[in-house]
Amino acid sequence: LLSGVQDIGGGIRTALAQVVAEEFSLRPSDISVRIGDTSYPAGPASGGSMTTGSISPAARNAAHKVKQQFLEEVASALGTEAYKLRLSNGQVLIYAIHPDWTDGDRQGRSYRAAPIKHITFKQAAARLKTEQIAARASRTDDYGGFAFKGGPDFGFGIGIYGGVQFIELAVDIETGLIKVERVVAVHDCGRPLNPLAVESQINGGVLQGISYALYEDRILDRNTGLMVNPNLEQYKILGSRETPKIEAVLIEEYIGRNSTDAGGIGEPATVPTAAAIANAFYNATGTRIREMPMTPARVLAALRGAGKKGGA
Amino acid sequence: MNRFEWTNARSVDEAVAQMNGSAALKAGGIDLIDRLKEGLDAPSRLINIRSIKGLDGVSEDEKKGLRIGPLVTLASLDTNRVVRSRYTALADAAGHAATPQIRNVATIGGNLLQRPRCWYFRQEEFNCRKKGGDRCYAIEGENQYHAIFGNKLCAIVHPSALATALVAMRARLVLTGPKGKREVELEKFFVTPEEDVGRENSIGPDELITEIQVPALPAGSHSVYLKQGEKESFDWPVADVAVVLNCAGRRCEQASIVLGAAAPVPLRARGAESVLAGKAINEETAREAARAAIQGATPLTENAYKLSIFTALVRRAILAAASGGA
Repeated sequence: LLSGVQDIGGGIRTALAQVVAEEFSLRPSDISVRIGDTSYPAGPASGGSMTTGSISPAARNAAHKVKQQFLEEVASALGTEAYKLRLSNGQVLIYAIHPDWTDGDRQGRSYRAAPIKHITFKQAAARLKTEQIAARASRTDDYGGFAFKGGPDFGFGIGIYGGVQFIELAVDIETGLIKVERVVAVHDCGRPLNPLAVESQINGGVLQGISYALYEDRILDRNTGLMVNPNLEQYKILGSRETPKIEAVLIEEYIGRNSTDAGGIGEPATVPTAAAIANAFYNATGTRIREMPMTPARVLAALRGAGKKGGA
Repeated sequence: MNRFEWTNARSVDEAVAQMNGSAALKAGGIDLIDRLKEGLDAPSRLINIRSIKGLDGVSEDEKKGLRIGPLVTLASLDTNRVVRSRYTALADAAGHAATPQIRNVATIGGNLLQRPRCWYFRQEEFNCRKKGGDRCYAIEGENQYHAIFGNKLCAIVHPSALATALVAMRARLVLTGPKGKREVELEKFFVTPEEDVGRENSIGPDELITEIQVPALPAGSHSVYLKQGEKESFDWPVADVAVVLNCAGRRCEQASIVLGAAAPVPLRARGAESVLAGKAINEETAREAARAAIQGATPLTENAYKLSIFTALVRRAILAAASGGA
């Protein structure tokens, strides 16, 4: 598979291998995925919570086209017809009739067709007349007129996603320190092509959400406008000791948004976190805090009812 | 970064002899390399003192107390059995500083001599009073991490967490220079901005720390160090406190209380110490001492929140020390 898409850690390389492998009933490790080169067919940016939803349908469509042609040629070499062939676990199964048809005997009993012969995918490929079969497919923005029309920003076929997060935290009301202890993140991203990678993206989104809710602050000197913390020592980000227990729950919503029904998760996983922390803080203390990051200075000021004073 | 020459000192005398007025000593290099990169210092020569043997030991004598070589790393102080069991505040101060990677390299000598982390001091763009300029940018600017005591001229806080614990333990330094050795109480080693705004301690230009001595704590003493950052991983304290209590039962014979990240020097909370002397330690006396600890504070526009944190930490540290340690 060749695509100009890039993998900056979201795992699109693996997801594309999975999609193509499924189409051919092979293992993902059998598929060679080459990406990140502008000489390959154009791919989307790796970002915007849209990579998998954008490129995996194109990959599946291209793989499907190649499969159709592959079966045609294999059938012709074997003296049968393509509709009698099925790819299964690295094998080409050869049936006497369409594999999905049932056949009946004179007594009216019906039975499911069984393959009469099978050869390996490699053996079948060796029977091809050409060295390679190539197909190119794209996923257009309007899906041939079937695009989901959710609003001006959702004129393409990705659809929209929902997510809910629950936060358990502790507030030290004397020192103003908030410690997030547990997060339950419930998310819809269409079909999770690689659930482990989706969970990992949810973990990342939650951690980044905690980080900007509690720690990250670009502090500008009020008199000169210069940033006073332009380094990773003084610009504070979440570290391993601030990492809570995170439970990811996937809601698999299949709405036919594209040929893989895959969506995206990058940004959706980080959207609810800060608000959930602020709500949990309110639930714990009865006080609203409306400024981020929720530093000890701001927490203590809020608890004292001193309004906004006290923070940067 | 400017060009510099590198030498390896094989003995203290050799290190002293190699000092040329614009040389810098390098041990772990954690703060030094930062300063070179930040353009704060441009020494003509770096004298590597890690090549000196015998400066990285920890030994204890029941009468004389603890002797620590200046090259002992924070990680080894954290895990040293003697330090952890009998000088717990020092072990905790070392063990909660920076990150595990830094603690494996950073030395106690470098920790005591490091320059302040004030973001105006660290940035070349701000020619502040400490660097020879005419004002403190923090006082009129972003001062949430700055001093709440002694901040009229320059609002840095002393960056050494180990100093907070060591001053509470009445530690002494042995300094070696061309004229030989001298000893100084650690508390008096540090210099306020009023004494000399350009520096934080009184080490001579051609001296180095050759030993840190911690007197043996009387039987029945317990020490506690508590640090509060905005987060636990890799953060400087916004407040840290060391408490050494010598108690007979619940009754406090003598208390030593030091606030870190509160002033340009590690700050003895003498008012709090005298509240506890001769009294039974309980929630009420601990609370009273904590209030006394922040008496006279002069918080800046953005750092009054530190008062609440210090009040909590002092009370908690006293109660923890009274019940036998954290």
